[in-house]
Amino acid sequence: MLLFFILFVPLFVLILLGVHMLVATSNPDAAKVSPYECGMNSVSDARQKFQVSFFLVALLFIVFDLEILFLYPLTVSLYHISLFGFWIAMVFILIITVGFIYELASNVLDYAKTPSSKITPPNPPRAKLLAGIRNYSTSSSLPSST
Amino acid sequence: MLFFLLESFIILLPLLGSIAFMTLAERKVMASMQRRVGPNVVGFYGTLQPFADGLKLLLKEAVIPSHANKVIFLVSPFITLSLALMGWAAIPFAKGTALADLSLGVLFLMAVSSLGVYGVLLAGWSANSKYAFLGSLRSSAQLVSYELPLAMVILIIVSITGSLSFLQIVEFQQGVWLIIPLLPLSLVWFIIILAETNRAPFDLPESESELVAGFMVEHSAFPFAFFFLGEYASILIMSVLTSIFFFGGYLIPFGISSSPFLQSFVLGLKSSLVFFFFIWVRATLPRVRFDQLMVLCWCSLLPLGFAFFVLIICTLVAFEATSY
Amino acid sequence: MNVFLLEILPFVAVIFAISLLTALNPILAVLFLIAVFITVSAYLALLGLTFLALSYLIIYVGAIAILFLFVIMMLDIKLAELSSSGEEASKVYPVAFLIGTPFLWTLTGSPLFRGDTLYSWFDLTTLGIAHISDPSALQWTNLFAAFSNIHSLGVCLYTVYPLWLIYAGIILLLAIIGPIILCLDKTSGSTS
Repeated sequence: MLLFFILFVPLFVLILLGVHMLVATSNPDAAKVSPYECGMNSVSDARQKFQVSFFLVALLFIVFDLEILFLYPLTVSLYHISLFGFWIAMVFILIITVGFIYELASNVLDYAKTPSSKITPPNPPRAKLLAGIRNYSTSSSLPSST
Repeated sequence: MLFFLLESFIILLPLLGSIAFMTLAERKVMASMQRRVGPNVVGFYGTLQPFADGLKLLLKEAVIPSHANKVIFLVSPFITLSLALMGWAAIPFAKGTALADLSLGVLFLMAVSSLGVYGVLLAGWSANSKYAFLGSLRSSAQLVSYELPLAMVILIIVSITGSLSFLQIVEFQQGVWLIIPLLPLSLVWFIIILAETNRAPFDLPESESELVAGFMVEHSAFPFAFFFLGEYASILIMSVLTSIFFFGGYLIPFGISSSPFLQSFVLGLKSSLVFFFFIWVRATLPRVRFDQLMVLCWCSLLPLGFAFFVLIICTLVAFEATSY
Repeated sequence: MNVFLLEILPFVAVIFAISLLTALNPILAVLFLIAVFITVSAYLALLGLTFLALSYLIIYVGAIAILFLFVIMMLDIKLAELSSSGEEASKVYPVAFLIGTPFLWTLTGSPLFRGDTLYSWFDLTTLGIAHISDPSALQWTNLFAAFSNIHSLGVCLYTVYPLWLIYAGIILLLAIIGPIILCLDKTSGSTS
């Protein structure tokens, strides 16, 4: 049944696509099929180089996915591996944690390149209000200066 | 064979129908939240609106850009929709009423949904447009990253229920729904499913202000509709998963009744409530920045998931002292 | 049906692997690689090794092939460069042949070579039946599957072979640290 379903679903979607191809109109012209760039003519190839962080995400994903996959058998057999197996699992998780701490400490996944704590917070409303009052009282009658 | 065909259609057609009405529900609910009327012209109270939209998309021209890699351009929406529909094979709708009651059903669903990244990645690459390319990069990085905390949460639930079969996970919750012992985890889960289905406030791939429509900017007509359907099918599957993992799936509270019809109705009701939560969040929260999104996943949710996993298995082993 | 698929799938996998090697477009090559992985995973699933099959899907298709796609998109290769480098690579064919030949030995374990006589080489019609009627090919996997293979895997991994698990953990730890060090820009301490 599962096999049938897995084979049938793509077929079903293909039939939907086929029906669309039969029914829909099709009269492309040069302007219609040009790459969409908000009305501009497109310059250079769209496939550009991109930030290395994306690559790093994919790499780290493999590693963590593997670690999680190692934990799946543990969850099912948790009550059948005795305390020894449990502590082995703890050691395994400890090793993962070392990697985790390194990853967090090295701050590589920070896309903005500046840690968010360094961005100066906007003035709190009360301080802004006070500053505004001070400005108003010191500057005479030149609204353009404020 | 005919029986198999019938059974597949019994899953697929109501699924597509419910996706259609989900789009209507989303528009209606968001309209009410923003004090608008929403679609109300087509059919009584706008009920036929999704069908009008679907027919329109069917009859529109599918523009294939000249620079695109045509085969992959058409294959990518096909992959997205097929994978989104395939996952439904493992979902139990009532007691003993699943298309295939797999012993590794949870893992099957994880595998199928992890393949969904391909549709996004290939769509962005094949369209050969800058918006699509950037959108697909962002989207795939997001989907891939949030798969890890998702897997962690599932791991915790599996370690509690001791089974990877959906049916047994549901049956385990006859005493108490898992949301009661696992309330903090369920909040993490809600955040993750929002990100995993590309919904607001994590709809970075489709942030209109920066990327127009993200990876599907060049897709039109039915290929676009495929992406749309695939996205809503995955939202629906996440809603159903939420109700299976945390709200007792098809179980009726206090064991009032055990009729399969009522059970599947109850499952639908619970899933609809979760879907309402999706819409509610979309109407309420502003979009986060991309770096915030990644930092949230890698520096908060994933360590939290691991820590919670250690806590849960330690608790389980500590209180199961008799078996040692 | 399943027996038929078991016979067909390895050949499909080999065909995909050949087209992976001959494909000029690198993206297409990765797609063929994914096709190989999916066929192999289907083969494992039909053998009854469902957990291994699903982990194939999750790890190879869901993670590693995605990394390959990322890399190929990032490399930004033009097709002309590829074909020129291909000509250079063809100079080392003799060496590749020398290295590759010993691997043909592994084929002797395949069903194609298992028959007692040379006759079974050529009798292609009975090949599939001969293979399946040989019970040793399938029985151990069935035994394994009868005991919910994820469960038995867990018991094995965490009680009988714990050292290997910890080795794997340390290798994975190195796999985390390595790329992070590569990505760190020493001068500014941020990503480059």
